[in-house]
Amino acid sequence: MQCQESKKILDAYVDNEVDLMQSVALEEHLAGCADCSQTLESRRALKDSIHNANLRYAAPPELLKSVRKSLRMPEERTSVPKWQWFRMASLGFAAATAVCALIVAIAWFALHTPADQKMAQQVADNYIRSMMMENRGVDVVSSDMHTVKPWFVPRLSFSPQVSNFADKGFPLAGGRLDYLNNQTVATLIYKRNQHYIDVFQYPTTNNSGLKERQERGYNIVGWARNGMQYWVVSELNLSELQQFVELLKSVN
Amino acid sequence: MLPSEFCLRGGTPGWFGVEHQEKLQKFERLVLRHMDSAFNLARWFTRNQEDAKDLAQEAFLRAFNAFDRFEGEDGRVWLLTIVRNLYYTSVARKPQEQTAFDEEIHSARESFDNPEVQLLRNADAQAVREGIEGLPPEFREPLVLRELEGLSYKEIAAIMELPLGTVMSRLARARDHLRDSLIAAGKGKSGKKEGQNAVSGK
Repeated sequence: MQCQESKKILDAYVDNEVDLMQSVALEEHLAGCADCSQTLESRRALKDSIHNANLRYAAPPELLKSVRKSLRMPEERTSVPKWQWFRMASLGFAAATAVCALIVAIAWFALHTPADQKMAQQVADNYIRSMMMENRGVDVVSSDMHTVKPWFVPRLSFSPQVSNFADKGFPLAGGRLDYLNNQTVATLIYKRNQHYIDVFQYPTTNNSGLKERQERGYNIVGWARNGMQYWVVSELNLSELQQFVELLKSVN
Repeated sequence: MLPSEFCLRGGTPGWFGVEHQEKLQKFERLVLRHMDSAFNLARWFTRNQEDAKDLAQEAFLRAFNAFDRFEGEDGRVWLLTIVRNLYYTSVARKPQEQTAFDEEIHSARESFDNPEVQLLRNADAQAVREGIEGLPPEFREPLVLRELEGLSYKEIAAIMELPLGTVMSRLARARDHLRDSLIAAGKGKSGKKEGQNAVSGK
């Protein structure tokens, strides 16, 4: 290859746009030609300088706004990829079913059930509802507490306690927001083999010792300590669930 | 997630037809997400924030109107082609193939040596920006598409409606120009003003 030919494809070479044959031929030439090697170095330096200068302009936010406006697009991002429609429809159906169940349950028990019993029912309702959702309705899927905890922070008015007990056989599976006792609460999902354990947390002014209940075949344990109410619910057998509760209490 | 939130978010088809909704969604997915690319190219064409906004805005409207005819999957190349055509039809004239600028280039050039590499490597962002802005559009455009948008030669050729070989030689010459202007600027900065002398023809 001659210098003239080499100079022709040198830019394509630094852009990775030449084929293997050409680049082999060029590299052979470069090995013996100081002048062309120098040009190559100069090109690379130039490219680096361009990239380091961060010259790409980002579209200003008002442009997106005005384009949306003139296309009569809703401001908020409402477009949902097709595959999500099914998920949203099934979530909606599950939620609607759950709301109906909740209304019936409340209407049925409202007059003559004690407060704790009502809470246990709500806890079980939430647990059952989450089972009907895809991926158990988990909003943040992670076994890393340093991912899960920050996820909650902007979404709640309190900071939930998040721990992982993977080493004890109760790995953290993720978190989601739930609604319980007339407020938004943090829900942590743990796993025990193939079983799920939901832990609901919200602030309270009461303190109370352990309460154990059975609700429709699910085991529920609740207690309040240090200004925080905990409800633990699972299909797991009671003795293993108690083991989990002890772990949880040891860190809270 | 609360059920009520889903109702609000999922259930607002508005008063437009389903078809319009679907078109909007497809447009958003294939075209609108390349807004930064469109704006960046417009900004480098016009060298002015406000004109760039107008150009990009108009390009999106045209893209949307022509969207039924768009069949590919690469919305970016398609969108950038529209930005380009719009720029040359409404803002500027078709690019002239040669400019007076050409005559100056090799005069500022001196021998290849390490200081050149050194100088290019240390060029500051402002000088690089001004250097590219100073390029004639037919050189500025492929350089921006390549270095800032990361497009392949093939994509650039499609946008500029040029053969691949021409894209290659334009890029080479664009870089020659830019290198020369950076060298001139570097020398100007060190107080020798040789670059300017060279341009005015000694």
